[in-house]
Amino acid sequence: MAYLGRGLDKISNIEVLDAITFTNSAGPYNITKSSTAFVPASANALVISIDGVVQSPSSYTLSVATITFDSSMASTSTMNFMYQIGSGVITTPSDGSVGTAQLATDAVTNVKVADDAIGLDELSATGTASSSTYLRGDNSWASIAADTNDKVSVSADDTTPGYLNGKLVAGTNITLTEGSGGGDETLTAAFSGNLNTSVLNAGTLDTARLGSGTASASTFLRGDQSWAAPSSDFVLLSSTTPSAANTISIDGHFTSDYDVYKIYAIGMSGSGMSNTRLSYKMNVSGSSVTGYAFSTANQSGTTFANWADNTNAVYMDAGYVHDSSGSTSQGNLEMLIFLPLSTDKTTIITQMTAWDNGTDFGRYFGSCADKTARAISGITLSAGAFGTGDIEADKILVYGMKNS
Amino acid sequence: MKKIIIKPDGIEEVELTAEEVSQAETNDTEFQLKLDQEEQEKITKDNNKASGKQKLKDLGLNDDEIKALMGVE
Repeated sequence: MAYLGRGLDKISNIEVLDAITFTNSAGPYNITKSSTAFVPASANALVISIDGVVQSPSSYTLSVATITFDSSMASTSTMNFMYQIGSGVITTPSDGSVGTAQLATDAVTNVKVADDAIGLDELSATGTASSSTYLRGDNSWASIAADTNDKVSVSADDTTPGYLNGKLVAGTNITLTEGSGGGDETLTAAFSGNLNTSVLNAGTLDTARLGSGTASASTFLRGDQSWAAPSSDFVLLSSTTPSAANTISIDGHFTSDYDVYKIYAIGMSGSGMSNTRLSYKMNVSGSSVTGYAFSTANQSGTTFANWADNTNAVYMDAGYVHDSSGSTSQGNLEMLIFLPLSTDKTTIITQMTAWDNGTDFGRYFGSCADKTARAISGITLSAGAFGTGDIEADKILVYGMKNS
Repeated sequence: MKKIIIKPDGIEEVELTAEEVSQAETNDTEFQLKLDQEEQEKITKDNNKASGKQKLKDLGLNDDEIKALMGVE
């Protein structure tokens, strides 16, 4: 017996949707059914009552599972109900029966798409997808542009002798030398010729590049581009600025390398004493000794006279120094010592200039001889005949004169 | 008081021993005596010079003659 009753297209079905709580805005508000997103079939399929008034479908718009009203919905307003009125009997569509028209715009969300289901054909990118193209941000398939910054490109499977060398161009004064011709070639760049100094913006050249020989603290670069010890026979052994002291001993500088020594005592003065004679003694094994013969003459103006002498002296007087540290009247001494290490009687020549106590200019010439044949190790200087005052010197220089 | 020793490898400062300080004080005293003695000898020499010159003048020599003869002014 045939079906009797209302047509199937007259049978309605109602989806009771969750009432929306307004928040003083027009929306969009989520449309849900039992707290699950619900996509209405259309605006006309919805029946909405707010504060007891059924809303016209033209007063809102739908977008997937959201609704936006034409005007702001006050939070004090109450949605009484929201239904979707469907029609016909709800059945499962037959396979392949749902067409594009049955799907709402943007209805397919990403979770509705199976993993790994999107193929190249589903992409709308322009261009041609291939093993040499890549999908760019502008939705187009494109090849990677060649890097114009590449300076050198080397074949990965180079087996051709001279391949590397043939790909590089050597600059001025640069020589490229190929090694291991063929597979796994190496290429060495070497500089030759004169270095353009303009490339030396900073830093220093290795001393080995400056000359032959060995660069050290005791060698100097000669004009023939070789590192060599100073050829001078006059060698500075010591340069010091001692502080004021009762005595200044210059000791331990005498060696077999030299026969003659010079000592310069520059800017000397005495202090705290009744006289400011510069006196000196010889040292033996580091300690000052006595027993000398000496004489010192003084040239003051046009007068040249004996100033001090003693044939059995315990010290020598070389001249006067001024009794004022830092004065422009300080004394300066040059001392020439002959053969101090020989077991002979060492002799010394001195000359000295000074303003005697800052008033009269004096130039002193003196000499002395050790009365004992013995090696001496140094000289001890004192102001004031080795009394209690101090002697000062701005600088003391010790030189040796090479004996060969 | 201290003494400075300048060696090839640097400067060394050493305080004087009591004996060395005492010796320095003795040297001061002895040198002052020496200066006094030299000063006295100079005075004696100047006096002799003056008296010798006067005696030559008393013999009738003038200053140029005395200078030429003795080198004494």
